[in-house]
Amino acid sequence: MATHTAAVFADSDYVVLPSGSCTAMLRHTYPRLLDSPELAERSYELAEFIVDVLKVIEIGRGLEGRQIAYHHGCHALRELGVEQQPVRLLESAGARVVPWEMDQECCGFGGLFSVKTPEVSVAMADRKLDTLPDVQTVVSADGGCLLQLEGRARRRRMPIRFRSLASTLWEARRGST
Amino acid sequence: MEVRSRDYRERARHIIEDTPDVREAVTAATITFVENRSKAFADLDAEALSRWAEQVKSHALTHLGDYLEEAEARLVERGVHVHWAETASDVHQIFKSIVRENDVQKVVKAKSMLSEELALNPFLESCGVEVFETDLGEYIIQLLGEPPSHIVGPSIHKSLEDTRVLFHERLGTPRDASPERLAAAARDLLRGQFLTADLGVSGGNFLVAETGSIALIENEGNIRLSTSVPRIHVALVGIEKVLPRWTDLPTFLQITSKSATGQPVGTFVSIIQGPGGAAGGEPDGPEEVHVVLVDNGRTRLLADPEVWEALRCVRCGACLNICPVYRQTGGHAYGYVYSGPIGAITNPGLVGLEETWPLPFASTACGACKDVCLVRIPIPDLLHVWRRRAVERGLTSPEEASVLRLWASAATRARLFGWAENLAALVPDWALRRLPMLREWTAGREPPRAAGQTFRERWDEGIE
Repeated sequence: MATHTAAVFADSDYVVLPSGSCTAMLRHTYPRLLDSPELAERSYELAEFIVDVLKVIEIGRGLEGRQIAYHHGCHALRELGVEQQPVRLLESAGARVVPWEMDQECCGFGGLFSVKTPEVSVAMADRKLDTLPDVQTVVSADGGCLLQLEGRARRRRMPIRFRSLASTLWEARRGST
Repeated sequence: MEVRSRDYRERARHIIEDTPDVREAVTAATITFVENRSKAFADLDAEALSRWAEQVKSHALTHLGDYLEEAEARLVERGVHVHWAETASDVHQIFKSIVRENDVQKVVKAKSMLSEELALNPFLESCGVEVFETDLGEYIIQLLGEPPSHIVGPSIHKSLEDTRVLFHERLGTPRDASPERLAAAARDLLRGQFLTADLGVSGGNFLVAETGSIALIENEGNIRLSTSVPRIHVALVGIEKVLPRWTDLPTFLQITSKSATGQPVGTFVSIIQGPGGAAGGEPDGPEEVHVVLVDNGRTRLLADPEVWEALRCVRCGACLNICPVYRQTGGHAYGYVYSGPIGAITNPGLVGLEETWPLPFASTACGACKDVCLVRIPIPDLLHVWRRRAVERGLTSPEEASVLRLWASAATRARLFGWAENLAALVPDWALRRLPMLREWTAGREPPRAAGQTFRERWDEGIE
């Protein structure tokens, strides 16, 4: 798969991924699998790319008045060091990113972990959801985390929207809600 | 200790579903440990200290034979009986002779994870010896007949209320006794045991090669008493506990305490160097001191170039405290003495992957343990090594491997992937719930809803 991915993006100047976990894979594991750091060096997580490479902070004001809780995916946070970039983008678009004591704790997805150890995985999601501040929307840069948190919140009938950072930034730019 | 790690999932499920108080008690206690730890390191260059600690431990491990012999020579000079034990049964035989030669009736024990690993208590009891754990947490779980649930706080899974009920039933304290009253009841009972025990058993946090000194960190004073009051003292020390120099010790004592509980240093630090009185050079203390240097799988782990770094561990427990997986269950789910991230990378090396293979998978690879490790053990990388070996040895489910192969073949063929995406969106919920893996997903979570249009379709139409 690494070889395939490298071939697909052979001609791209940058590879921008709407996922911290995938970016971490390209950046830290692909160099070992492919025996070359070349793809890793032009791969970025979306918020990291916008803020650190494009040097853009304000992309629109479409999130005016929105209360958002931001879930830091573990790989974006700990393997890429992406922490402030997504929050700055959301805030500059008018959203209020509400403090959440467990915003940096793992959601319990962990890929196959979620189906190999489902009871622990669900208990971890519950810890996140039980500590959630009063917001309408939870945003994250990781699809796996959103799948996990939304899947559990819907089972618990919690009226919360789960949106990817990319979709949320798209709303910010278009000005829709 | 018997290994019961193969049914990790079932044990974890049981704890979460049938004893929800455990999850609450463990989560609350570990969050407090983590907060205290970060305060303790707030004004220090934690990274520099960690790099130093990593380097000292790695150096000691890569020169282990020399340092162990140096420690042995210093200890023997002061009249200590030094024993080398390769296995738990070797340790048992050493105790058997000490017990027989000295007609030992009663043992007081300081907290020692190694003694749990060696199943020392059941062995001593089978020799007709009465054994008292003297650490309050260990005493509680001894009364309950349970193994420790945490490296530093063995009864972390128990609430104050649990202890009130236990002490009410067993020690006759009032049903609503204060924590102070409960501690006093244990103290009263244990004081008498210290004074009448023939033998004290301890572990060892560090063994300084240069001086032949065993250092022990504690908070309750029970280690000081266990190692100094009885006529005979036996210290169990894992061979990986060696530090080269006396000057390495003060910093290790401080950073280990800070990392474990957030204290500047443990309330008591005891340094054991040999017997007292006429027999040895110390002014007082036991007449006879034995040090048992225990291997029990450590040499095998050390010789394994992919995972040897796990042996740097100083057992501070910080990786357990930060681990969101550990927090849901406490240590009992792991089915062996060492739990949490460090257990998951150490146990397969100590007792074999066949018995413990689910443990490296009991992690989301969130990486929090790596950031907090005092001696910079790359825990997620080591988890990955054990996972790879479990798959290579055919220990994991074949179903899982086929699903992953299927995924890889679809994900490298764009048209097939698109077709599969559209097909997946058509599968009704009731059918999803019966598919392997999705069955496990949907037991506690809703399956994802397909968007009306795939991203690739939108991309082809032009997103703007």
